[in-house]
This record gives sequence, structure tokens and C-alpha cells, in this order.
Amino acid sequence: MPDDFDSVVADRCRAVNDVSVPANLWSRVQLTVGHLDRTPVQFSEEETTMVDLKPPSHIDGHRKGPLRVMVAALLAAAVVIAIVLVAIRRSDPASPADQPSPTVTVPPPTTAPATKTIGFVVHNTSIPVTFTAPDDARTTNSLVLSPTNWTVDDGWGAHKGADIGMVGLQFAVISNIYADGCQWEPLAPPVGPTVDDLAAVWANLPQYSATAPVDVTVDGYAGKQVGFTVPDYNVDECKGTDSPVFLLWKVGADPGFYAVAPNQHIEQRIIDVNGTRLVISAYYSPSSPPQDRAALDAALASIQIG
Amino acid sequence: MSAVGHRDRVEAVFRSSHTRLWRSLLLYTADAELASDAVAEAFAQVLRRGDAVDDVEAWVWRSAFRIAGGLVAARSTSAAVGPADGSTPPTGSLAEFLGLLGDLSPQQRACVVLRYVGEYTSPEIGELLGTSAGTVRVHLNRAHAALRQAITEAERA
Repeated sequence: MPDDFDSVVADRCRAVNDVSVPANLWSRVQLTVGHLDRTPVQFSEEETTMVDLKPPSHIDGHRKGPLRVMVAALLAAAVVIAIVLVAIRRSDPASPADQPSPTVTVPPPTTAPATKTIGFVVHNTSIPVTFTAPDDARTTNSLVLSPTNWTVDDGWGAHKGADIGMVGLQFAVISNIYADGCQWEPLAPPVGPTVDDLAAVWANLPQYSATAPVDVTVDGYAGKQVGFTVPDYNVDECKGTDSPVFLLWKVGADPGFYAVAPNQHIEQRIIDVNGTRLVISAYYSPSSPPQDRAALDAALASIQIG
Repeated sequence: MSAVGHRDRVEAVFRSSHTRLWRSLLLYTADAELASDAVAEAFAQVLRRGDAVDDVEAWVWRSAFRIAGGLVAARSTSAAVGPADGSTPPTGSLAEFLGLLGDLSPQQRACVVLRYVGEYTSPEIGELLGTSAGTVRVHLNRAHAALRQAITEAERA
């Protein structure tokens, strides 16, 4: 993602080249092997993609055995199944009388999917927000972005997925949008300062197929909601040397938010929070799993501000 | 391939990449000892797995960062940068930069060090971290924004 700050970060990172690497690293590898089973074992394809998330006890004697990704995956799968079951039941209308009764009765769920409350102050503002996310949401202490778990970006929002089907929500103060996201050309003159200014701007860009703005209220704060679809761009034709991207909007002076993929759908809730134009962006794609969409809807419905 | 062949393959990867890997992990963890632990553990595990691992280098990088992530999460409140055996403790501008990196989220920090020290592209980082190139770009963008703000404020002070 080259930008004008790319060389600055690169220069700073180069300072690490002055640090001497321990000369005994290979000896430490062999010492560590000595603590493991020396006999090579046959692992399945799945196992070879896994790795201990935490080091074994010979590194940290206070910890229990290794916690494997598979455990997290199984837990996530259980939660997803629970969400799907509840979502199906919620969306299932009452059966017509002329339909045969099902032969198998599924007992109603006794508990709602486990959720947790996420809270942070929106980046570069003093606006605290909270919302609920599935209980398996990873905090910023987690490195790996698993497609089976929600990931929380402190100050920004949360998302799930690692590909075109990604869903998520973002809180930001949008300073301008891109008239041509592929060529990184901001709208000129920039969008005006009001909620209505921003809500109307996408309608002037026909390639976005924006909906007409409608009134919306989020936790008592009034504003406008508008939805649009990211154009069907060809990323290889977009700006960016080794990592071309399609830019959507700017946050402050920063390049801003990128599209995950063409045809990504974004619903903008643009509200006035005590004089700050806060935008809550909910994004998903046609291929997003229904359970993820349901979790996103639940998160949106749970938003509290202040 | 025999066990000896596999060991030779791992040793070759170690010789060609352990310097970059260790320095990447130093920036990621801000702790030379944790970086050494993660490198040693990752290579030990790939030796143990034998021929089951096709791409040794990718596997080791991915594993080392996951192991380091676990170590960082479990680390006590003390995050002092200390020298590993035979290593020089970071000082000056590097120590200052480690502090700035420490304010990033682990995902953002991993993307930064994998790009600028590991010399991987966004799609390659996505492969290593188990996510998409688009997400990597978002993390890099946010890391840039945070670092830009922190560096600007530091220069004004």
C-alpha cells in the first residue's frame, strides 16, 4: 500500500538492521527440539496448517498445554451453528395451516447466541460507542484474523471474514469521498460539512447506484441512511504499485477506507453526535454468509453512543 | 524425502531467513528474548513435522508470528526490551520506534514488520496471517495513520 508515508516507515524499520542477531539461535532450535518428540510424526494436511498458539511448557512453565487453532475453530463453529439456528428460527414465518406438520420438532433454543459488548472511543474523536458482537470476537490482542471469528479493531469497528464475503461495521468521521476510487481522486470540491451533504454525495456518482437518503436514528441521534454498491472495478487497473486498491472515503487526512471487493454493499448511517458527523458504515457482499449478516444486524441494532 | 533431507531443507531456510525473521519478531514483540523463543520454537516444530510441511519458509514465518503473538499476549506488564544472548539491546531511534509500534494493534504491527522487514507484499502477508490482502491493506493504512500522527506529535514536542 504505497503512499507518501511509505518511505518514512521503511526508513524507521531499517534501524532494526543495526541490531545484532543472537549467534546461538540454531543451538536454541536444537535445544527446543530436544524438548519435543525427536521422532518425526505424520500429520494430516489439516494439522500441518495448525500451529501452537502458545509455546509449550518448556518455554513458559506457568502455562498449560498448547492451545491449538482447532479448538478455536470448533468453538467458533459451535457459535456459528447456534447463530444459524436462531437466525433460521427468527426468519421462519408462521407455517400456513395447509402445510403438513414437520415430522421432526426442533426444540426452541433456550438461550440467545452468546455475545459480548465491545466498547471504544472512535478514532480521533471523543465519542465513546458500544455494540455487541459474537462472544468469540477476538480483541486486538489476537494476531491472526480468522475467517471464523469476528475481529475488533479498537477505535474503528469490527469485522469478520478474510475475503470477498467480509462483513463489518466501521465508525469514522469521513472528511471526503473519492470521485474515482480506482485512481484515488478525491471529490473536488470536497463534500460539505453537514449530514445532508454527505448523505447526498453518492447519489451524484451514478456508478455507485446509491439509494435515496432516508431518515434514521441511532441511539437517539438523528441522521440519514444511504446505501450504495461499490462499482465493479478491476483492481489491476487501480492505483498502487504492488498493492492496488479501490479507495472509498477519506478519514481526516488519511487515505481512508478501501473496498474489500467489487460489488461490496455499504449502508451508511450518518448521524450528528453533538456537532460531529459520525458515520457508521455497515458493509457486506452478496456472498456474505447469512449468519454473519445476522450478527452484523444485531451489532447495528445494539449500538449505543455516549 | 528423507528425514536428513528435510533437516537440510530446514537448515537452508534457517540460514537464508532467520536474520530477517528474528528482526521482524523483535519489532513485533519489542523483546529480543521473545523473538528468539519464537524463532527457536517455530524451527523446532517444523523439524519435528518432517516432510509433512511443503513450504518450510512460509510455515516457519506463520508459526513464529503466531507463537510470538501468544507470548506477547501472555507477557507480564513488563515489556522491557532486553538483550538476548549475544544481541545488542535496541537504543536510540530504534527504541523510540519500538515504542511507537507498541501503540499499534498486533495486527497492524505484524503487517508493518512483515512488509518493511520481512519484505513481503500485501497478498503474501495475507497468506501468512490467514487473511485477505484487502484486510492487510486496511491494517497498513491504519498503521500509517497512527504512526504519522505519533511521529508528527513527537517532532513537535
